[in-house]
Amino acid sequence: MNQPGEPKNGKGFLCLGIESSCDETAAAVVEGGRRVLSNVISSQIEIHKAYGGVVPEIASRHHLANVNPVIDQALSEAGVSFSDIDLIGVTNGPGLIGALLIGTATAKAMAYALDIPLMGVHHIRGHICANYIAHPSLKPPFVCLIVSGGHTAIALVEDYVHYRILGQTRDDAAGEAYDKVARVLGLGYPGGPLLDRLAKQGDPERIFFKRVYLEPDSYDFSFSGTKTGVLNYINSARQKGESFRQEDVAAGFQAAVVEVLTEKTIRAARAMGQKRVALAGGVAANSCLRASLERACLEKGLELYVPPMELCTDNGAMIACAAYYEYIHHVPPADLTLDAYPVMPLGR
Amino acid sequence: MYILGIETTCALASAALTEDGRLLREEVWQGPMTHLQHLLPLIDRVLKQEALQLSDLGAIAVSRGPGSFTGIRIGMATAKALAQVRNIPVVPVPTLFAMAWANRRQEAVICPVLDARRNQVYGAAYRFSGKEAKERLKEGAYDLEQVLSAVSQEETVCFLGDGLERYGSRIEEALGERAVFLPKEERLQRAAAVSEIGFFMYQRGLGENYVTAMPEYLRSSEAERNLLAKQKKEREKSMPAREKRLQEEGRENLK
Repeated sequence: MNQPGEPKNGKGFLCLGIESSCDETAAAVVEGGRRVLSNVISSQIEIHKAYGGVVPEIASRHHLANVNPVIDQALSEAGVSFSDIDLIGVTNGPGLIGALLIGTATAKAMAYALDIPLMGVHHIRGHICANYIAHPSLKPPFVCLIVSGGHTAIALVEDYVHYRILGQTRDDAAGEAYDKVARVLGLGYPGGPLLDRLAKQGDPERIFFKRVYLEPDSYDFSFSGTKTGVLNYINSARQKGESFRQEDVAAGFQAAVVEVLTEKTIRAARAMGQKRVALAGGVAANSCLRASLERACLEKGLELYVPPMELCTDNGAMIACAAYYEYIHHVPPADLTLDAYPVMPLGR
Repeated sequence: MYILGIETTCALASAALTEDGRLLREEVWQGPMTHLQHLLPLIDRVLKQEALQLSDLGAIAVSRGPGSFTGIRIGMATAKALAQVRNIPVVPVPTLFAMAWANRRQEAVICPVLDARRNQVYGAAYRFSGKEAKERLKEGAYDLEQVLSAVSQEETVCFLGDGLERYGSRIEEALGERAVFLPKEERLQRAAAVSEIGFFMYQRGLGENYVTAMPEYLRSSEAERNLLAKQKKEREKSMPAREKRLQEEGRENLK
């Protein structure tokens, strides 16, 4: 029998998801973990462009100004009110601490005022869960490649609450390397999508940049060497007064990063005996990475799951989804002392 | 009317309850600065001890700054979210005024000074007669000298705030015996005063809703200041010499 407030096959069980870990203030109402009733995102990208990157203090100030109206909009678009909400999920790490605490303080106060349970959600677990929303039939286990501004990792998603880290970056996240290269090429912010667009017009084979595989059996990544290689190439060409096509540099760099990401992900899936591979995180929006994984999965007979663009970038729906599954799988809800953390382990 | 007061702009976090401006209870967290963790338990405790619920509150008063940027936001975010769900007003209370108000019975000008880093203080000065305050120095980010010159003619000036840690000796040097420092345990921002003033502000129609209630940092972020300075420099560089001269002459004329 269902306890009052417990999900009845998830139907009618509403979770409010709140996300403010970087430069998007987002809130969503999700029914039964996967049915998105609303997904409101207020982006600060335009504001941070003038600074060439996210400024934490400015981001925090805007989160505070935006979070309440964004939540109002999420409720009204879903056609529900606060009293209909059964659970609140909030990103409480990892991310920019000043930004995280706006969402976390807000979610804590709301859950307290409504007397409903609250789940603190790991931002990257949220990204992985975006796949459940995008693919209604997808169930764990599967292998997931997570690529975002701050994270690069391969995880074995064992079930809805257990994640095993197979490998992660030892230095720069792929997104960081993208941003740095984009900055040196003078592309502006956010660098990733701009570099991806430029690379499409370039020849990925004209300039070769080093692929860093580390130990033969390792699933870890290192992108700082590749990044430095690109920066050295650009600097030395500029010093010698030689011209180069920016498009080719972008394409060559992207090819080097994507090749390593693809190879390790496929190898991990096969070693773990998994037939399914999922992609998650902001960089999952990258067209070259998507294409490369599609090719490789097709070749090896693996199923590839990729969320649509709007679920790849930071959003509240993925947080609500993750909170829902952790809640129904008996992860204890947060108490009044929930804190936010800039760094947080994804799994064992 | 019951009003919950929230104060998280300094090293102490506190929550207080008043009834029609009269203090019922205050809870204070004195530990490492982990206000996000401790604020809600403090609120829960003051309510439970008075056998009250959030639904009994008429408004939420929150210390809106200046102070620690992060601290201000934890209090504001919590107040706004509680008010949004409960559909009650938020009263954004000026932090420095609340500090002064708590000491309104002193026969002196009350001058709160907070360490604003970058060799500045957030300061203000008030003189009270009863519950009415006269502003001697408008709240702002100042060099200490600016604050001192604003109160230099006063007979007695009562100082409080964490700015005394760094600037106490310089204040004493400048004002000698005319400067009175509050004892250490009474120097910091407290929710009791926020809640009390919150009631009077509410009566005067100064309650806001959860969207319009905003913090007062008294200072833009470092990145914004740097960007503005850079843009100004570039504008000046690209300005034709004649225009620049005219502008400078104009500035001279204004003096």
